[in-house]
Amino acid sequence: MGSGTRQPPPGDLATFYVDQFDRVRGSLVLFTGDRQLAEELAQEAFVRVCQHWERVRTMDAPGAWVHRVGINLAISRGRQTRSEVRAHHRLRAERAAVLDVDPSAGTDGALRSALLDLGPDERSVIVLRFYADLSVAQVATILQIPEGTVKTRTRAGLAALRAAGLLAAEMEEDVR
Amino acid sequence: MTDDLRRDLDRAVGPVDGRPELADLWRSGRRRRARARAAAFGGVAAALVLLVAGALVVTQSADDAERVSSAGPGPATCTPAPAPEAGSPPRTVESFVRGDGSSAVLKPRVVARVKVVRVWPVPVPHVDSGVLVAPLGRSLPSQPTTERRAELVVTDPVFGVSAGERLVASDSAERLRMAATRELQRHIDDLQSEIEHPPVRAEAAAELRDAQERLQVVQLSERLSPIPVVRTPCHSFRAGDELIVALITSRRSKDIYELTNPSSFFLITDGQLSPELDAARRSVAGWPDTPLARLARRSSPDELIAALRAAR
Repeated sequence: MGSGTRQPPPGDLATFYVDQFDRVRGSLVLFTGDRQLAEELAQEAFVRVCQHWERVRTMDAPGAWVHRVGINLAISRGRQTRSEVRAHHRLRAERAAVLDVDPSAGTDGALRSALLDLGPDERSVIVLRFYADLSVAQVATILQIPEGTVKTRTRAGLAALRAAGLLAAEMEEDVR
Repeated sequence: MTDDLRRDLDRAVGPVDGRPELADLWRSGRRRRARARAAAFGGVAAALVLLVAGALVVTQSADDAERVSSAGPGPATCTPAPAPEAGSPPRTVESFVRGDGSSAVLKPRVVARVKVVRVWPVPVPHVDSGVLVAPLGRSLPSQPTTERRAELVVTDPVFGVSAGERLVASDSAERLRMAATRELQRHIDDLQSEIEHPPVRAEAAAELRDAQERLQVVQLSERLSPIPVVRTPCHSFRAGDELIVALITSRRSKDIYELTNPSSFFLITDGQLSPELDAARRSVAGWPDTPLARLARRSSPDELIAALRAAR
């Protein structure tokens, strides 16, 4: 292919990669509940970063962009395997095994399991707001929804986590 | 309190493995970029090629038989016809050099490393091709097609020929390949337009990726048997191509050669067996990662030739 494939990646890309890869992969672990899939999707997202680096490097928030790519890939992949996931949902224990979640594994497992019980809309907002640490405005841009919808979904997601006994009651006060 | 949730989420992600090598991701990304650019220019190039090919058909048809005769050892015409179902590719070195006993991978008469000296189009009668661009499900209209022939010079024979010998190979794929390219490019344009103008169907991105991968495959000149873009045993040769091929003689003429199977060849680029072709083959759902493909992936052209000689 071209000589570009033989050149090493530029230094600013390497810095961006170190800063963002683990965060994107972590977000996808929480979003999909599947480490292997998350790894695969994160790699795919960064291949696209490399593909479009000249454009991505000039963006105001390239980290938000790569999260958006990762989440879109996960949603797309999730719909492709929707019937499979439905089958997994029939039996909680089976689903937990397939999705790499052990509900009995203390708070961490319970939190991951509770996240998977959320709908993808709420789950993506919770993961992006509180794991990827993105602002309401950034999440709204990533998910292409109004900021008000981000806040509504955040409240709904937190309420569900609180109902599962995973959050303190005053958590909602922090939603901005 | 949000700090608690952030901390809990960090813990819930758990231990992370090391990151993949950025250099690997970089190479993949840049290859895609190069291919996307090639695809963008492909439409224009295809139109130009079609114009040039059309002009050549008109100007060369009269003296074509004479040209073919001068190019090889007594060649004659080859009228392309739709091949039977492409069948499986050769799975092993042995099946590449001996066939596999089925009609899908025929026993070759020639196995060699060759270089394509030149290609030229010839007009052929109407052929009812009935091609299907998978997985779009759209049949291309049956139409008169253009056969291309290629003059090959043998650079490293395995058997059946001598070094320096010249062969004429037949290739009827080009026009239909270009039609398939246009069809895929149109589909990609539709999807890109959809993605740029929300609301966007969730499946659009996956469909776009699928179509782009198929376009890459088609642009590798219909070299893959599981993609029934053109059901012909002919490989679309390009001048300057270096290939390792297994050839049979055409059923219509013993002096015209065709591939034993649409996949019975390896492309050599930059002195190596083409990783792009290998990647494109592996990107196709259902393409078997055969022992032969794995051997080729870790071999140089000379090593593969040696393995073919040993397996004969």
